[in-house]
Amino acid sequence: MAVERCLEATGVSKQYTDFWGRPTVLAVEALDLVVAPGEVVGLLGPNGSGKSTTVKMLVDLLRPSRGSIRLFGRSPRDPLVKARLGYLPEESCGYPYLTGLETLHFYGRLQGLDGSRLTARVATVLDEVGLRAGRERRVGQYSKGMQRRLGLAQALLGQPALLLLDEPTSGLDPLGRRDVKALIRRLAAAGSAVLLSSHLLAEVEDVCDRLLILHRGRTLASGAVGDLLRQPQGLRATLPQLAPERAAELLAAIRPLDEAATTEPLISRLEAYFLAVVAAAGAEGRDA
Amino acid sequence: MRSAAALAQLTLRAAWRGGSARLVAALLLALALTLPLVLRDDGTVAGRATLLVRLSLTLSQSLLLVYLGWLAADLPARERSDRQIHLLQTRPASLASRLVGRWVGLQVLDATLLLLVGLGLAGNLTWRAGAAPTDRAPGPTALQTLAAWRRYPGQPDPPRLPPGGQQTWRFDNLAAAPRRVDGSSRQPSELRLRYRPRAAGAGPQLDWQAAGSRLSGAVTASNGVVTCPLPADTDGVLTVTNRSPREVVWSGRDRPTLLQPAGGFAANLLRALLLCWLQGGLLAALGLLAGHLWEFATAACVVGGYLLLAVHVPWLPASPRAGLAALAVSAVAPLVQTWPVPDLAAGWRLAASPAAALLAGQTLLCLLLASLLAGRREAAGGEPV
Repeated sequence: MAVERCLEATGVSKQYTDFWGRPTVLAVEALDLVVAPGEVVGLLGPNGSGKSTTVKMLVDLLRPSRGSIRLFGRSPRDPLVKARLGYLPEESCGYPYLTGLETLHFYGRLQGLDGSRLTARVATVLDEVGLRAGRERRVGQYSKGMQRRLGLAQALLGQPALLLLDEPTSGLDPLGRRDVKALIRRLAAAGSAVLLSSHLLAEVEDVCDRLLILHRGRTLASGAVGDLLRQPQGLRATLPQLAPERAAELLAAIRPLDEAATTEPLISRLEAYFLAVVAAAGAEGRDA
Repeated sequence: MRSAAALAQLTLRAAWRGGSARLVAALLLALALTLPLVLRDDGTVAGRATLLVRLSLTLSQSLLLVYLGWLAADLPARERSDRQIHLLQTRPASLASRLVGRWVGLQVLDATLLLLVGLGLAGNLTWRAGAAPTDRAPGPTALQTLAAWRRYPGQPDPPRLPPGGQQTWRFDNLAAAPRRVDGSSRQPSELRLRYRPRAAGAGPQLDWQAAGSRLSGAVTASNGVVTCPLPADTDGVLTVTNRSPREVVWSGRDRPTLLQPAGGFAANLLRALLLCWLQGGLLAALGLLAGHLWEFATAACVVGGYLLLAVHVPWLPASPRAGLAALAVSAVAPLVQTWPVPDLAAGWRLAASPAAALLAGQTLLCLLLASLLAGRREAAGGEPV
């Protein structure tokens, strides 16, 4: 039996026009995209490459000028589709006069939840995004990171089968970014499809199975992350425990194979180092 | 239904926590408290009460209409500029249910504020207007003066009467007027006629005859309203002679009208407040329509322009039977039928009132238009990112 595609966009283009209908910017051109259940797909590209426009077309905030978009085999305007969709916009956009809890109750009711189901679901997503402590504060008093967490919480309210995240870790500290990435992986493991747009390469590399690279609205490259990054002619050997004199011996041994071969000390990524330091400090604090 | 209720609650929270509803409530309260202190009337209980009611309702309703129109235009326009529309649009709730929810929220707010106005007015009339009349002569109390009346406008409806001219009106619908419960005779009626002092001269110079009997001796005037009691069995023919050296001009509801008592003050006030509420409903729907289509500045101009039109278009006959032209204008701007407030002394049979029906119809039309037009536009349009 064929697996249902969560998202299928074929030949999608978006031409912006001015007040008089004259074409101004061609933001997206002939985009093809398929996302299957359990898959995490990343949209990569510099500012102005058409990532946000693409996501907005997928959630029916913009209408494509050409091409077709089907979510779960239906039009994005279909309420049945919207019930299975979670969307985190690029900018946090809560109501500043509502508390975090009221905001989630409001969106939950729009999602079709009510009563004890709504209360339970709100409590769950608050825990998932780590916002339980700030739930009674007004959104207008939230930090940017808290607003981002709230945005993510509202996207998760309906237990979406397809999650579209526009710059999900923007404004989050490294700990928050790590939590969000872990959350995305958990959701994908549970069968949800995730499409995320970002210009943070490391973020996409960490969580995505496949990616599309956009530039000025055109798809420059697409495919599985491993396939795109693999360099068939190159090789990296990692030896975590190696004395300097042994490294020199190793280099002397492989130099005859390729004159350009080098050895260098293993350097940790800054994010991993930062998280390790913070975790260590947290552990000491708990011990004290 | 669930999403409409959520939007209604959100609207109320936006108005209250944003502070605007509190400010308007405070202004309405201040108006109710200070108006009786600064009012200059003609010294009669009836005059004072009439003036108080008309001024209170006119000022309060003007404030409320401006506020409702502003709020209705502001909420959706700001939702779009602050991008909250992105999250609303991606929910399974339909645009129609969101619009209805917003409208219901605005109308709950309007009803609450109107209740405040009504309570303030009733309190004022009970404790102030009726308590200290400047005339010592026995007469009707304030609440009796403002009892509800059924209204029978005379036909035909000539707009002007030259000096020395004479005009006869027929009151065709008097035969259908309800009789007393015992069926004996109709209740005593009253002829009412509003004239414009700038047009009619220094005072009432009209000579009225009904059923062949001259009634000019019993004419009283208060705040531009000339009244004349009529016997219970008036045969429905009235002659007016203009003895003023100037031409008398009537427009809309100012023409001679026969009134019959139809209920107490409370019911009448409630009718007036209901009609005010319907006016607010139309403004709210218009504001929502404009706010969904344009940014706030444009939407506010549309709503404000409509209000100005309602104030400045000349009064039209209250009944659509007056002609196609009146119907056409009413269809465009039904608010002109009832602006600024219904005449309390004229009595409104709300359920059958064409004005109420027009207001409700226009409200529905605005909401339908908003649903159709706003659904066609892109929620995130104009953002080439």
